[in-house]
Amino acid sequence: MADKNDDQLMRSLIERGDFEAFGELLKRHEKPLFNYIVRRIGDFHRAQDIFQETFYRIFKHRKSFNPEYHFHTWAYRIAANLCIDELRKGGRDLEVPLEDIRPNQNPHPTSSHTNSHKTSPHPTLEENLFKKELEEKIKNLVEALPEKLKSVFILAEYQGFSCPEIATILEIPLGTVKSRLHHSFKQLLRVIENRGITNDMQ
Amino acid sequence: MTCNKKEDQLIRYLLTILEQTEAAKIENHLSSCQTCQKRYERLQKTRGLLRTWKPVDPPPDLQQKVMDDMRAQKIIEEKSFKKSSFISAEGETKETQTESEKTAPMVLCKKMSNYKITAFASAAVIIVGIVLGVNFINKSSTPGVAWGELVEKMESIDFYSFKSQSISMDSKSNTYGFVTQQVDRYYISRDGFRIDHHYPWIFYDSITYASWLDKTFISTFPEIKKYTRILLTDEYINRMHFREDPRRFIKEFMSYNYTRLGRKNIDGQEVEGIEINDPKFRKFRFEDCIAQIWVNVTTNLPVLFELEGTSGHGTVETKMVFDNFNWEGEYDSRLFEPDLSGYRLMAEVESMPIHEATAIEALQRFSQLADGKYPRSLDHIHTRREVNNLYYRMYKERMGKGHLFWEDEDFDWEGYTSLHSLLNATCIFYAELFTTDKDVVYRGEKVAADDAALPLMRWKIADDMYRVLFGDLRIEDVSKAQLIELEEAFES
Repeated sequence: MADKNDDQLMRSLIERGDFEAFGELLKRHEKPLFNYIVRRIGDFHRAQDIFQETFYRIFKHRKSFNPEYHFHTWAYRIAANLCIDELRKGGRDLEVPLEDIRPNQNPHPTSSHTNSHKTSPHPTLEENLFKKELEEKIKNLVEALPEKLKSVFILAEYQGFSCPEIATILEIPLGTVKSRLHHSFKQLLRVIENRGITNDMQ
Repeated sequence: MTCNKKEDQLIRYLLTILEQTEAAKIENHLSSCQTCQKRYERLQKTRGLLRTWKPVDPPPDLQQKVMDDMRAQKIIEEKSFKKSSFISAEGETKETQTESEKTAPMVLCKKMSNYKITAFASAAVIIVGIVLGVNFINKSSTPGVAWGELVEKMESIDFYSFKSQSISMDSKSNTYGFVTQQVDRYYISRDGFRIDHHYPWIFYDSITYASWLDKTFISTFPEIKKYTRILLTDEYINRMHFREDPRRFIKEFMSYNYTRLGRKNIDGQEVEGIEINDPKFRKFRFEDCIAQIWVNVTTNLPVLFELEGTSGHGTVETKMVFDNFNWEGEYDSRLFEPDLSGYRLMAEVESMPIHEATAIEALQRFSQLADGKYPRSLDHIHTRREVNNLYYRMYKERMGKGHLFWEDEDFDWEGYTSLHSLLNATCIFYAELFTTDKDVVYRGEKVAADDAALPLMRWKIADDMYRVLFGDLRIEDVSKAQLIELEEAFES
């Protein structure tokens, strides 16, 4: 399974209802897709439900998958639509901070690709605290972006999608993607500079 | 000053949304303009800052939950009554087949798969649909199944095996449904049973052996050569004995009125079916319930047993499937005796009395480990998996990602096994309240330890008396009217 690419796996899922292929796709995309949903809706618990529903739909509607698309753009499109439904349904304030993420959900901030702090192999408590606070601030800033900008910004900057891919996922024109990405960055830049947020501890 | 205009261009360049020719111009400019170089560095730094928002780890059981959803969906798609086609001795195959697919099977399938989109259709309507769809069928000339002798015939068999699945779906919950039970192979003999579990994700496969002669309940993990043992009391054995045996269900169902469904073909076997839709039948466990039993016309033994029922005021739908029966296998006692050579015994505990005090202790232990949550349901196999999830999460947080608790030298096997033992007894306690018609309801999905005023579990202790176990595990006996008031919180 591991040597097949996503589209091959998707094909065995469509043609044979292949359990293992589905599992492999799930394994590969779990973390990024889950994080995309968490960032979009800002609630760790509701994100789980949406994630489950995303994969449920992938399986249920596997036969309507258009092979011209790639699996990941299709999966993100499903997730993006579910997020929009969720945000509308809740009628929730979109500027709710990500407080809902239980602090112990990420007890090892240096576990994945978080090794940005290279000055010392053993960061002090103070440094850790500072980093945590910084992350919190950034999180709140991005969260506070208007929904339309945020949806593009998250896909581009945190999920690593190209603009044409984002256009496919969100079903909006390429030009719109580019201008929204530009605006969101500008807006964030302004707030960061106005508030003097930096990663220097002093 | 003219360079100020370039900030927008620099941002576009940074975000790689510039046309190639424009990008080349900026590159050119950057190599000669110090102001813009500084500006560009500042932008890069800001981008770096934005990336300090790190990804979180998904919950450890998320993949498992998704796979459960999918199994549920797969069963709905493939396993439902529609799978096989009717055959008729009078050559009406085609017509019968079409009719059968149009009515009985489809109604149920549709109901299962669309339950979230549309409100549940009334079960009464569904039952009518099925009866209309199948009533005309059996005109077969070959001798049929001797239904009156089915129970006796089944009970004369010392050994058999089958596969079992059970799905529950809650239309009020956000999730689409979950497989509460999935057993690859179930072996039943007069002296005990054996359950083969295959976990495709986080956990090791396990084989569980219950022996009435040795009075033990042994769980083995073949991949790591470890096992645990629970010593069973006679009380426990007596009350557990038939609990795991689907013959018990079938026997119970055969005491109700049923409708004949005629014949069809399942995996190459000619079978004849009956459907139980006696209104009294609902008292067994569900508010509304339909069951079908399909029996091989030659061997007179069950091939498929399916049950669909609703509970929770129509919001929870359960489907149980027992299939892949093998009644003809030779009884081989070795199948029930684990080969433990090279295995390490990790813990040995005693079985707990089947009593409400045990249930309280089990729920307390569970919630202490689970941040105040309770098991989602009190189903033997389901709670087993929940406990595994719990330990997996605890050890992951303590030891870091990719750490499997079973492999840990300091793992608390004693605590782990005793929690299983406590929950096993709790599941039997709960199941007995069900089968003895005590109107038992358990709400582990909705009530947590913090919900001191909400009823976690309740059952009837006298005509107008209910015993209520609250979220904080306090017990109180209340009248029916008081109970209704207490449960109002769940109505909305």
